[in-house]
Amino acid sequence: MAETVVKVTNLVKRYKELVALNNFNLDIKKGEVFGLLGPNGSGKTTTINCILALLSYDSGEIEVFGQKMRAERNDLKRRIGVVMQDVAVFDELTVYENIDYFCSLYISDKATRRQYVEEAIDFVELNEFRKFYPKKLSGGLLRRLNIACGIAHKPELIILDEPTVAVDPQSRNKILEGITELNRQGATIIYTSHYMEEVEQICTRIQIMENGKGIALGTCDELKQQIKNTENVIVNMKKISEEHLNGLREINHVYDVKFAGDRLMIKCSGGKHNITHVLEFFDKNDIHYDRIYSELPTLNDVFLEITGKELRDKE
Amino acid sequence: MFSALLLNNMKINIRNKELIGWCIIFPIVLGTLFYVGFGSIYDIQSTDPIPAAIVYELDDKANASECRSMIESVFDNIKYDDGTAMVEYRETSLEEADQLLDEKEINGYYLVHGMADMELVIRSSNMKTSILSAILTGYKQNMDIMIKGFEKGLTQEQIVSMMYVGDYVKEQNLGGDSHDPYVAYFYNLIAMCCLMCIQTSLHIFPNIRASRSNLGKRHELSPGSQRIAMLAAFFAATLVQICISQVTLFYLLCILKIDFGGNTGLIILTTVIGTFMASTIGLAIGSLRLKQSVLESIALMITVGGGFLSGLMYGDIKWKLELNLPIINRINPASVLSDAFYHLNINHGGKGYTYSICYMLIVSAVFLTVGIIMSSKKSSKSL
Ligand SMILES: Nc1ncnc2c1ncn2[C@@H]1O[C@H](COP(=O)(O)OP(=O)(O)O)[C@@H](O)[C@H]1O
Ligand SMILES: [Mg+2]
Repeated sequence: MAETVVKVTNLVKRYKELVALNNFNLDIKKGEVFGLLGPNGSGKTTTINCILALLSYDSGEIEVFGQKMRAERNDLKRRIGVVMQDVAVFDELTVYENIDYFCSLYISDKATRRQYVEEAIDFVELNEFRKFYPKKLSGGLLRRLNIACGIAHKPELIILDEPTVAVDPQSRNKILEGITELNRQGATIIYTSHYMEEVEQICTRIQIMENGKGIALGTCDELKQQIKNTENVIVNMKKISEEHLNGLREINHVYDVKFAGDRLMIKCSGGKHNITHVLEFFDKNDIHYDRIYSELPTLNDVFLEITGKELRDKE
Repeated sequence: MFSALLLNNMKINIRNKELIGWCIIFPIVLGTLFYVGFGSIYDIQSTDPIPAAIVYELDDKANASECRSMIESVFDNIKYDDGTAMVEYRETSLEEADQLLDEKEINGYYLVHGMADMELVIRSSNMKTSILSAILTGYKQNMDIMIKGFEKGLTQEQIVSMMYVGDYVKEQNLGGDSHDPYVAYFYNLIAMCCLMCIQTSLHIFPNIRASRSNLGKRHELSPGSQRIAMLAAFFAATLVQICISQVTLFYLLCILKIDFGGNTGLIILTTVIGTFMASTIGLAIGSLRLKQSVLESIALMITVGGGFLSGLMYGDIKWKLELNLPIINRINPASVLSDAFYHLNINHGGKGYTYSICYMLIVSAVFLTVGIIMSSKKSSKSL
């Protein structure tokens, strides 16, 4: 078993009467890309701030690299790189100078720092923008600068808190590829997001959280195996009678049928080939439809089944 | 780490256009306005006697005649360069003096309670009333010298030789190198310009504290020392502000050719110390764990409120305070700083100047220490 990089035990954090973290646990191993997935307000940022000793907490324990984390543990902080949810750069400094500023909090040797800053600029592909001021950068480029400021010092543990919020799809993919690359180079990653696709794409292990509690933990496949949903058959059609809907519900393995906005959603358990049964039913009853396809369950379905809520509003 | 942070902080300060604009343009515009506003008066160079009244309300009846002759001899000896008397005084009752002042027959009256206790009552602020104030200051200083002299057991001759009774004002030309009664406005202006540094340094702590800003989170989650980050930001802000105050000073001295009197080297030194003090004040205020809006109000109170009390907007206020509540003028940074320039002009330094400089150095040391103590890493209850 790989060594534990971050261990959070029974963490409780209250803001006055609001319980932001309620006996929350984490055990993150070296080399993982660990995903913290949860809707807005579920406590992801609070968890990160506690791990970094920026926030005090009511009870529980936090260990980083096997040692108790406290505000004055500069030796531990040196080995961590953080990309915060909100962009934090100096408006008066250029791309290069910003990275250099924050890198200088970690690396005092000038030559080493210059090399690290250059590598960070290359890494986030901001070379042609190195003399730009943050105000002149687009949202995606600004996020990349924010990332470069957090990781230039080559940390062993990298924590990214929703680094892709408000980023165009192209930049988002670049960022995700970058994170995978950092992990390949040896860094342990903690990645928080409320976008399940991202977490599914890059994370080796995922903790789903809700209202300050962990509700499911495992690899993507493990999480999906925890639920009965195995296939979703989706049909685009203008209308369907209540009688036919009830007929569909009779089909073996179908446990939920919903029709809304020209879209029929048939949730199935027990295997992957339920679509043939649906097609047979449509043929037999002479039902017309525009399009039919089948999808495997997503993390959203995992979340939905455990909490009864959507992970997020559909965009 | 320090040198890298200092360099980057210098860039941050220099490139803050709003800040630089405000700190340079404000004093230069205001200075020019003062200059233009007073311009007409500058040209008059009048030698007309200034009508004034003297009202005796003596507490000590025994020495009344001595006191009268003393004061009269002082006024008789204050003359313009061409030898005409500067003050045309008459002795009146208090009611009479008030009436004359209301009718603008006189520019002000001196209310004499005793040899060493004299007030000036004026209802407007112009060159003539400023001259009357300057005479009062000169008189008080002489009295001060005399009383201290007696206490030290000096002979009358020794004391008189120190104070040049009656000739003091004439020789020193309104008690200073500068012939310009409005120069006090420019003292206040340059003092204000130094105090602007409070606003700049106010942001140092918010920028490095996690509970204050996202940049602060970056600082606190790094292994870098808060103290070093704070000091780098502090020295960068102070250096840049010192340069700004030198630009303003240069503008006043060399472009507008305002005659500050006193030694230019000491004037520059005073602005440097004044700016440094202002920077430590801003630093210390910013370090308080209070709401940002509260901190900003405190800083504004000290700069603008202090500027007001030192007479930046309304020239007589400092006088009124000096007569009624002198402690304010001793502790208000704006007054202490403008006094330093005043004493440089009047006495080429002296006791008043030494007080001002010591006060500023002590305040700086205390507040810088506060800043150093307050810079540490700490987990917050809420971010
Ligand atoms: N400073 C604060 N004061 C009071 N409540 C807070 C504070 N910060 C966060 N919260 C609350 O704590 C909960 C968790 O917030 P957060 O950790 O930011 O969630 P996430 O990052 O998952 O969106 C939310 O209900 C939020 O409203
Ligand atoms: Mg968050």
